[in-house]
Amino acid sequence: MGIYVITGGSSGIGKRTVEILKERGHETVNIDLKDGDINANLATPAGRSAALEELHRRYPDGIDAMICNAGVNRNIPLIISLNYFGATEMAAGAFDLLKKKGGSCVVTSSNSIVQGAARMDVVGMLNNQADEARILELVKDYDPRAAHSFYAATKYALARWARRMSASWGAQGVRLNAVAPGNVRTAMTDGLSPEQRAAVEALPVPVNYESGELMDPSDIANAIAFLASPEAHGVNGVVLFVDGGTDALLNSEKVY
Amino acid sequence: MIIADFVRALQAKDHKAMAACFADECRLFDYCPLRIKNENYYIYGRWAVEMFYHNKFVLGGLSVLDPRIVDERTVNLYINYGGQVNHALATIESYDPVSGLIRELVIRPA
Repeated sequence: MGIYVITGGSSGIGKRTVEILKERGHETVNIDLKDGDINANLATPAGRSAALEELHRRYPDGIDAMICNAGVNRNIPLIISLNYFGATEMAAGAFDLLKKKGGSCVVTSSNSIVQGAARMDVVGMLNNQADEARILELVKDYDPRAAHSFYAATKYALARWARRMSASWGAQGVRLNAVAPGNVRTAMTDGLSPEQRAAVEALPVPVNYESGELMDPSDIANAIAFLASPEAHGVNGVVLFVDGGTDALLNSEKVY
Repeated sequence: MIIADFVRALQAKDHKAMAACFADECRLFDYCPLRIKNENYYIYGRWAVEMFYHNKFVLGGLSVLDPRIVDERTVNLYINYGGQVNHALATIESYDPVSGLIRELVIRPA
């Protein structure tokens, strides 16, 4: 059985992913702000370094998968630090461990990346001039109501980062993929205002349209577990939409 | 006339009323978005019409202006695609023979 490391495994999609992996007999390591197997603040460089150091200390012979799932949708600086740098730096920092076992990496993006909400200037900064301190200085005074456009930007940049890195990683025996969930029932969606709720409902989930339900965390977790597993050996550099068909509904002409 | 129901639904931004104008198996093509550098719309099935326009009315800024019914199959209108307006003709190409609902509707640049 494998060693599966996940960030943000204490709640929502991450928690369900941990449960599924354990049910399949794998050892899981949850890195989270609290209630983790390794507690660390992945929104800070120091927290990421400490978590990676501990990971290397515990598993010097390597790990089978790194699932970078931790994320938030409020507080613009935190969105930037955790969603993008907390994922890409943890993935890159665990690359040597993944390489030892021919493992795989999965990052959690979002289907919001195709809805035109992402600030593409921010995407460009993240992907091309990834200076965390300077970007945080730039965004610190932005109106918090613009958080969604930054959330979508970090998830867009994360998916693009995975696509960019996947060929080189794949050639070294490590697969790198992204999942792009639709609107999922998690702690993040439980506290929505009426306006936010109306916006969420205007992104219909076709497979749940009759019930009006959001996606279940299990729907996403099963996809993550598959991409992280050896069964997905041929899948690399893919952004897998797990949204019940929302993307196909709104972007049917984009087949690639 | 079903074309009048269709226009009323568009004006009211009522995605359910709009979908109710269509047969279960239907298609709606809109060839205007490409003029504003977006993908055209190719929507298959009444449920997809309902879900798609729910999204467009609430989040996509889609609305219609000054619709004028030409005949029982055609309406001449301006469509605002989130800030960019196209002059268009919406034409019912065929009806479902049993229900009388729209089976195919095409929106073209006027």
